Amino acid sequence: MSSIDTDLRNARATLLKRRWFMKECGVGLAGIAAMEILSGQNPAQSALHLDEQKLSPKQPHFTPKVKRVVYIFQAGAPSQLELYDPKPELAKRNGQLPPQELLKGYRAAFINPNSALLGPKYQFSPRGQCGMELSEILPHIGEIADDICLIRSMQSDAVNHAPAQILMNTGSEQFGRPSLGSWTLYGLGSEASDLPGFVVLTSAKGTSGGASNYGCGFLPTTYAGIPFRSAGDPVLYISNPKGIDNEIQRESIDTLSQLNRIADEQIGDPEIAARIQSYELAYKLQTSAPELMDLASESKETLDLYGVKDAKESSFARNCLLARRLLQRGVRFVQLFHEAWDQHGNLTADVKNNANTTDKPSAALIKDLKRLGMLEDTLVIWGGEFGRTPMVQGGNDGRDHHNRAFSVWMAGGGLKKGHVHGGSDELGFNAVQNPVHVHDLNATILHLLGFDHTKLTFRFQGRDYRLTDVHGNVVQPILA
Amino acid sequence: MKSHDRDILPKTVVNTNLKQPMRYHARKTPMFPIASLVVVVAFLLPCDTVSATEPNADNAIDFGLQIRPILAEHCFHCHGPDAAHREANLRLDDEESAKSIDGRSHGLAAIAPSSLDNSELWSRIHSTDPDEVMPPPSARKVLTDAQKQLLRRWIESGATWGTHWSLAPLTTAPKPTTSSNPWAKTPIDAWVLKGLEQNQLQPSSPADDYTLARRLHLDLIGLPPSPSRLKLFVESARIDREDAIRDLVDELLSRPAFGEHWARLWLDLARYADTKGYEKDLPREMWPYRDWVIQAFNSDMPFDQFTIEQIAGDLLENATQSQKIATAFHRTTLANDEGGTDDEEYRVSAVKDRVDTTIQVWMGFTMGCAKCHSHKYDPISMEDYYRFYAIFNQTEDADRYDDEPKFAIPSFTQQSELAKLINEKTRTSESLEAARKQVVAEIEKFWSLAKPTAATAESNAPLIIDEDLSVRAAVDRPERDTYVIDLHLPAGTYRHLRLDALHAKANPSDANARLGINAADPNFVITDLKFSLIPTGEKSEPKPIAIASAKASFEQNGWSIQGAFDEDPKSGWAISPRQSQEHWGIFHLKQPMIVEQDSVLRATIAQQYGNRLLLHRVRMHLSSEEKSPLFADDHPSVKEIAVRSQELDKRIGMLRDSIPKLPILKELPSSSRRVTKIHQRGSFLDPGAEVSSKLPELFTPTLEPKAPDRLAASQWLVDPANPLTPRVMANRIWSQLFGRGLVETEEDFGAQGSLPTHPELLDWLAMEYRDTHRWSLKKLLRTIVLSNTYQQSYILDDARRAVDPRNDWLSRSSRFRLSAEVIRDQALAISGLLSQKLGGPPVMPPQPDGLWRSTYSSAKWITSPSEDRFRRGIYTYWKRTTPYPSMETFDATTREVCQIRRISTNTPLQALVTLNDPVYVEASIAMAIRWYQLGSDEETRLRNGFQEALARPIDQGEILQLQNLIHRARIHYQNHPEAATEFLSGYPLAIDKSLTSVELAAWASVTSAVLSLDELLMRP
Repeated sequence: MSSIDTDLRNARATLLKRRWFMKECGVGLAGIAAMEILSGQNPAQSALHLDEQKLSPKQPHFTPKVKRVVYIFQAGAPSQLELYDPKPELAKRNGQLPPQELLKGYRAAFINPNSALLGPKYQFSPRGQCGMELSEILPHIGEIADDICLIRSMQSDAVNHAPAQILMNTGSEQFGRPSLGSWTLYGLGSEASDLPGFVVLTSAKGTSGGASNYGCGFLPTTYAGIPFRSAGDPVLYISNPKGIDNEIQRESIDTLSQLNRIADEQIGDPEIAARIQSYELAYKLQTSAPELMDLASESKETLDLYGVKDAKESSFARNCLLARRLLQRGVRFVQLFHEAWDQHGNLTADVKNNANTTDKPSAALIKDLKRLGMLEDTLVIWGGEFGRTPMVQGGNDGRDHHNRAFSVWMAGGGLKKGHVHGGSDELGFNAVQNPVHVHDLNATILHLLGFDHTKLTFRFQGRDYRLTDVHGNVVQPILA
Repeated sequence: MKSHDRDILPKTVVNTNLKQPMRYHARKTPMFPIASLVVVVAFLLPCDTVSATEPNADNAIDFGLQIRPILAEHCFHCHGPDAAHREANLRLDDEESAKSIDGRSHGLAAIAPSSLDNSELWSRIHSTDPDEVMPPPSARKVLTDAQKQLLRRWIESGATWGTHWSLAPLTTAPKPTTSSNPWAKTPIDAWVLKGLEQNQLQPSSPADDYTLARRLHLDLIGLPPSPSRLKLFVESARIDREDAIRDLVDELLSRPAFGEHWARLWLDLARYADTKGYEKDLPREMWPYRDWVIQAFNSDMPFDQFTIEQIAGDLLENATQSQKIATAFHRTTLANDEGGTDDEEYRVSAVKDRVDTTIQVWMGFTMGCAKCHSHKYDPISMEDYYRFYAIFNQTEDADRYDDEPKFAIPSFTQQSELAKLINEKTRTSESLEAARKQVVAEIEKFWSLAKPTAATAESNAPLIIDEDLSVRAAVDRPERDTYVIDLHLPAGTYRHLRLDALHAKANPSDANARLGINAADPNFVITDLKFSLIPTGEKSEPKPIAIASAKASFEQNGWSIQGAFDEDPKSGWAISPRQSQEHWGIFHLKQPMIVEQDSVLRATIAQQYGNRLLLHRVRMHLSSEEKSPLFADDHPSVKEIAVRSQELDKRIGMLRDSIPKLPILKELPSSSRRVTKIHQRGSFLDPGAEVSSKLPELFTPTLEPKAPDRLAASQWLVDPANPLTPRVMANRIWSQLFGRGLVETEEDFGAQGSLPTHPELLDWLAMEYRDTHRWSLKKLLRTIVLSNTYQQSYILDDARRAVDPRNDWLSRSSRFRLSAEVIRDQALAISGLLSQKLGGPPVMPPQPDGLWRSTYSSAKWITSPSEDRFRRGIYTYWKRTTPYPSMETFDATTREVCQIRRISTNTPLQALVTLNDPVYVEASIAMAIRWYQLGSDEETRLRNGFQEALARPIDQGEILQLQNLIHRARIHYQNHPEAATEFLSGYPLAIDKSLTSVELAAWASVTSAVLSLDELLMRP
C-alpha cells in the first residue's frame, strides 16, 4: 500500500472515529427534538418550527423508567380462563347458556355466541407473597408472581388474528403503521454498536400479522425490526459466501472503502461517508450476530434455568435467553413471537402443552434479568392479541376468539410488583373493573420509556401520526 | 484524456465537521451530535425562510402560498373546517367568518382588512395574557416574528383572500427577468435560475458525458448504459453534444425497458402485489395488470386515458379487454381469508382504501382522516368522505375467498389450445350421445317398469299416481318430506332397482316442467332411501332390502348417491347444477331378491334437507339382469367415447385453471345497488345518515354530473378545471428525476404539506404536461431532461453545501440512492446476466430458504429456473407478508397500502446484500468471467471492466487499489485453492477454460467490491 494511501487512511480513521463518537453519543432523549427538525419531514416549514422545537410534542418530558423492552408476544390468543383469570362461577355454570344481556351486539369469529358456557379446565391457587391467583399449569410464572403486574381487564377492537395483532403492535387495524418497537427506536435510538436496535425472534408458527407486526410503516426502514432467524444465518446474508473467509472479505471491504473514500474526496457527498460506515458496521455484525447466537459461553445453570435443552435448536426457551443476550449488548427492543395459542379445539391438552413450552423460559427471563440487576430498567411484556370466549366452541373442549376481556402481564422498572390490575365479570365475559384498552397499554409502555404518547409523533401525509392514534390513557394505577 | 466529471471540476477538501451537511445525514438516522446541531440550525434558518413562503418578497402577498399556511398550521385546529372541534364559532379557513363581526366578543372581526387596530387576530397574537394569547400556550405553537410581519403586511394591504395554493387554478406566470443569462435555455432553467440568483447561487457546470449518459439511462430505463451505447454517445457528443443527447433521450424513451422502469413507481401507488395480504396472504394473479401498466407507459398512454381506464374502464361503452384489465388497479386491495372474518368488514375496508388511494394518488390529499371526523386542516367533511365513498361502494367484489369478479385472460396459445379442445369436446359429446342412443334401447330391455300401488307422504300432501306409472308430488308441500311408494312386485329374482327423477309440471297450464318442486331451485336431495319387501297375504314385518352400491346419472359436488343410503341423515344425493335434465339412480342389491309370489316393494324416500328440495316426479324400474351392463356408459361401444370425453373435460379444466384470472371491478346491477350510510366514528357497525354519491368540492368542475358514478369520478380527476392532478403528477415526475419533488411532501398537497420551492415552475410543468403535451409522460420527461438544470454536475462544493445543503435551489444535480429494483437490475446488467424477457407471471429469483412462513398457507418459494432467475426486479414475486428480502432491505415496501414515495435509507443490512446475497455473488462471478475476457493483461481487463460497470474510465488511483486487491486475493487463493473451488461451486456459469478457479475467484473479489461501490448504488 502506498504511503499516500496510508496517510489518507489515517486521516480518515480519525474522521471516522469522530463520527463513531457522534453516532453513539448523539443517541438519547435530548436528540429527539433535533431529529425532528432535521428529519426533513416538512422542510419548507421547518424554519417556522424551529422556535417551537423546545415545546415539540416529540420531546420527552420525563426521565424514562426503563431503557429497553422485551415483548413476549403470545400470538394466537392464549386462554386467560385457563391461565390468568380464575372464574369459579364459570365452573359452576358449565354447560348453561350465557346471560342473554351479555350477547347484545357481540361479535364472535366462528361460534354462535349463544353457546354453552365452558368451565375453566385448570385449577388456580394463590402464588407468592402477594397471593396472585394463577393457574396450576404456570408453576414457574407463579414463582415470579411477586415481580409481575398482571392486567386482567385488557380489551381489543378486533376479533380476527391478523388485524388484532397489528392493532396490538401498531395501534391500528389498518396496515402501514409503524410498530411499537419502531416507535421506540425512532424515539430512543439504540445503544447497540454492532447489532440492530430492534430484533425479532420467532418460535412456533409464523405470525398472522406477518412482517407488519414489527415493520416500520411510514418511518424510514432504519427503524424496522430485524428478524433474527433461528436456523442458518441469524441475519439474512450475514455469512460470507462459501469459500470466502474473513481475511479475504476484509480485503474486499478495505479496498471498497478506499475506493469510496476516493469518491468522497472528489464528490463531497456526505452520503458516501455514511456508506463507508455501513460496510464497517456490516462487517462487525458478521462477527457479533453469530457470537450472539452461540450459547457456548452460557453456564449449564443458565441453560437449565431457561430450560434450553439443545443450545443450537430453535425454541422459545432459547429465544428467551437470546433476548437477554441482546439486551446485554445494548439492543433497545426485542420482540419474541410465539404463535401457538389458537385453541378452538383440544383446549385442555394444547393450552397445557403451550404452558409447558413457555412457562419456565418466561419466568427464567425475569429471574435472570433480576439476578443481573437489569430488571429495574427493563420492561418485559407477556400477552397476546385477544383472549378466548367463556363459551364453548365445538364439543366441550374449545374456545373462540374474545376481545372483551383478556390478560396481559408486565414486569420491570416503574411498575407495581405482585399487583393485579382490573378484572372481568364473574364469567370472564367483559372487563368490568378498570378496563385497559390496547391503546392504554401502548400509552403506558411509551410512558415507561419516557414518552408522552400524545407527543411522540411523525408527520406523514399531512398528519402527525402516533402509536395510539387519537386514543390511549396511561394506566396510572399500575405505576410504582 | 480525462474527460469525466470528477476530473474537470475542482476538488473539495475534506477537513471540517461542516463537510457533512448534518441535516441530510440525520434523515437516515436519529444519531447525531448535539453540538453540530447548533451549526445546522444556524445555517438552515436563513435558507429556509427565504423559501417559497416568500416567493414574491417585493410584490403583493400570495395568500395561498404565504398566509394560509400560517393560519393552517397555527389556527385551523380550533378555527378550521372541523365543526366538532371549532372554538368561538370562528373559522379562519373561511373569509366570511374571519372578517365578520357577528358574535365576536369585542365587536371586532378577527381580521379587518387594512386595519390592524380593528383586527382581533393582531392583538391576540401579541397578547401576553395566557388566557388571551393566540395560539394558546396549550397548543404549543408559536408564531415567529417573520410570520407576524407577514400577517401585518397582509392585513395592512387589504387582507385579500384566496384559496389554498394547491387548489388555486394553474397560472402562467411571466417568465422571470433573469433569463438574459444564456444558461436559462429553457423555461425550467429560467425559473431555477431565478431561485439561484435570489440565494446568491450559481448553477453548476454541466455534467461530463459519461455521467450524463449513465444518469439518462438510469432515470429513463432504470438500466446502465451498454458499453457500445456509451461509446457511441461519447463519440457523437464530441461532434454535436446537444444532438447526441437528444438522440440518446429519444432512443431511451422508445425502449421497452422504459415501461419496465417507470411502471415500478405506479405499482407502488397501486399497491400492486402478487398476494392478497392479511394472515393467509394467499396468491392472487395480478400480473396481467402489471403488464398493462408497463404497456401503458411504453405506449405513452395519455395520463387522462390512463386515469379513466384504471378507475372506470369497465364502465366505458363497449369496454375492451384492456380497459377491463386496467380496473385491477383498485382490486389490488387486501382481502382477508382468515377463518371467522366478516367479509363485509373487509369489503368496506377495501372500498375505503380505494377512496383514500384515489385521492392520494391523483389529488395529493389525505382523505383518511374524514373517515372518523371532519378534516381539521383541509376542506373535507365526514359527509364529503362518505358521499365520495358511495361512488366506490357499488362494485360486485365483496372480500370473497374466490376474489370474484375476475376476468380470464388467456394467452394466444392458451386461447387456441382451448378452442381446439372445446371443438373436440363438442364432437366427442355428439358421438357420445349418438352412441348412447344406440345402446339405450338395448339396455332398456333389461329393465321392467314397476307399477305403483300406493303412494303416501309423511306430510300428507298429495302424491298422485299418473297413467304412465310415475308418481307425481303436488307442489304445495312443507320444507321437508318423505315419500312412501308401494310397488307391485311380480314373482321373480331381482338384482337392481332404478329410480328415475323426472320433470313434471306443477299444473297443466305451466309452460315449463321442472325437476324439483321448488321453482327457485328445482334441485332435490334424497337424504335417505330405503327399500323393503312386503310379502302379500302374510302379516309378517316388511323385510329390509340392503343396497350394496349405486350409480347415478350425475352427482352434485359433495352430494353423491352414496349419501342416499349411508345411514347418515345429513348426507344425500343431489344434482345441482343439472336441474334442467332428468336423472336416474341405479341401486345394486347386496343379495338377489327372490320373490316367490307376487309381493309389494316399498320405497321410502326421505328428503329431509329442507328448502323444499323435493322430487317432483318419480318412477321405479326393476331388473334381474346378471351380466349385461345396465347403463349406457358401461357398454363397450360407448365406454371408449365416454372415457375420451372425460379426459377432454379434465384437460379443458386444467387449461382453464392455468389461464390467469385477474380480479377486476364490476359495477353492481341497478337492482342490487348498495345503500351508503355514514360510518359513525369510522365504524361500519355504527351506520348513521344515508348519503348519496357526490364528488368532493375541491374545485368547480367543468361538468358536474348529477349522480356521479366511477366514470364521472375518473373524469373529474382529469377535469380541465382540476389543478391538483397536473400539479401532483408533474411534481411526482420531477421527483423521480431530481430525488425530491418541488413540493417535497409528494403525498400531501394539503394545508399540512410542504410548500413548493418553485411554485411558478411547478405550474409551468403542470401545464406543459397537461396542455402542451396532452398528458404525454415521454414528452414531459424529454422537456425536463433536456434542460440545463437536469444536466448539471453533481459535485458538491463548500459554497453550495453552506447555502443549499439539501439542494432545494437545484444548484447542482442531486445525487440520490437508486431504487431497490434498479440496484438489482444494474448488477445483473453489468454482469451480463440480465434477461430481456418482457412480462408474464412473476418469477422467484434465489432467496434464503424458509422465509415464507405464513400461518395458514402452504405456498412455497420455488426458485425459478434458467433465465427467469435473472429477470428485472419488477417481475419478482411480491408477497405482502414476506417481501423479497434484498429489495425490502433497499426500502421497497410491503405494498399493503398505497406508497407515494419510498424514503431511502443507508443501513449495514444493505452492505450485507451486495456483499453476500447469492444473487450478487453470482453476478460478481459472471462479471469476473466477463472482465477477464475484456483484455489480455490485468490492467486492460481492469480498465475495460470498470468502465463497463461504472460507465466511466477508471482513475489511476482506483487501478492501484484494485490491482492491490487482486494481487492479495490471488495469493490468498493460491494458498487456499480449495476455497476458490468451494466459492465457485453452485454457480452454474459457463467458465472460460483458460481461467483457473484461483484466478477467477481472485477476480471475483474485485468485482464484488465494485458491485458494492457507493457510486454504483447512487444516481449520479
